[in-house]
Amino acid sequence: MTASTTTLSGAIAFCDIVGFTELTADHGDEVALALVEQHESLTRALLPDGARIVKQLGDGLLLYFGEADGAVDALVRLHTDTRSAAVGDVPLWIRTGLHWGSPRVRGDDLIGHDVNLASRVVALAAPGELLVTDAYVGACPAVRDRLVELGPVFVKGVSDPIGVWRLRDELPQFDDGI
Amino acid sequence: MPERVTVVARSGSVSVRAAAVQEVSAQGASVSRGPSGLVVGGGSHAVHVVVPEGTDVVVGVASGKVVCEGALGAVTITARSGHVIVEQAASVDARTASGRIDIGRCDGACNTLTKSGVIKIGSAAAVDVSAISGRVTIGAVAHARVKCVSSVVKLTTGPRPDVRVRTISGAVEIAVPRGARPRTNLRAKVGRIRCDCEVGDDGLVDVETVSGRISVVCD
Repeated sequence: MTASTTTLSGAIAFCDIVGFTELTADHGDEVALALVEQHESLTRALLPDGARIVKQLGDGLLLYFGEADGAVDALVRLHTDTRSAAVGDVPLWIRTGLHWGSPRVRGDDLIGHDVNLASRVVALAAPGELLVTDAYVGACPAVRDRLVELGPVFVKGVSDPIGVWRLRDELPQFDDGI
Repeated sequence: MPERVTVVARSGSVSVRAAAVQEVSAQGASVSRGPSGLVVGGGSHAVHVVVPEGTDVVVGVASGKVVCEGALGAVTITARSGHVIVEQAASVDARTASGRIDIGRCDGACNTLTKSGVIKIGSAAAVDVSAISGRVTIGAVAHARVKCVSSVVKLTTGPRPDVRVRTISGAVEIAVPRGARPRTNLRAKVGRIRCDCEVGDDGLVDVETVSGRISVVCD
């Protein structure tokens, strides 16, 4: 068997639904499924040219952006659009993590260390928060003025710490009603 | 203004103490100069750092206990697990997946996050707390934003509170000083609401939950 050697540089984002396990346990599979579908639909609607949903992983979406510049703005729009989203009484709370790297291409899928890093970074984010890595800041230096540095962070399964930043006060944290 | 100090340690305990000193000193770790200040690099054993009062400190650890003592500047701590203690700081950003966060006094913004741990904040000018599950206890606070999935939240306000809490489930208890008459917005889609305090225009207590319990009591 021959492994693919194709790589693709770009921004890799993970978006997931906050507290999905607890929501599913408390409100059932129907609500969980509807939240996942709403999340995907809102995300798909705002992706810029050259960006795509690579795959769905449970409650999370793996996104790929060919250009670094538009990725943060797209994710800010996603946070804004989900601000008042809900299924019945259950709100759709999301969090996002963004990294820049060169994943391997396998069919429509992306795999590799950079994909794993992006998925680990989102786990550090609060509800409604966007975190980005040093690598992304390096690829898109203009975004740095919009960020606050969290410093070196150890993530699961990776021995060396990575630099992580959070978006400064741009994202809507509270709506007027759940 | 003192130089920023970044401490990186894989595991083991980290202590940072603010004292009346001019220079940064460290035991159990090397000190080097990085692009944005001094970097104290530890391995898997105890690291003790002494910094001038008011120093901004950034700590990244995989696991272990992090203790910050004395009057520090902006403190940023990220720990995958372990216990984070900050005695006094100008501002705090502390996040852990499964540990405990104890903040004594924060003179500015206090952002804390846990996935399944305990957050306790003594006093702060403004708090922004997120938790998936676990317990959140906040002492004296004027401005608070709390967002939890299924946590137990206890919060004590000042005389003119500015408090907004959102939860999916769990219990929220807000204690306001006796005699305070805040405007209230208390909504539970499914759950019990109890409000013992008089309602007026002394600030805002705004709590919404999907299936939790809300109580506002006079302290």
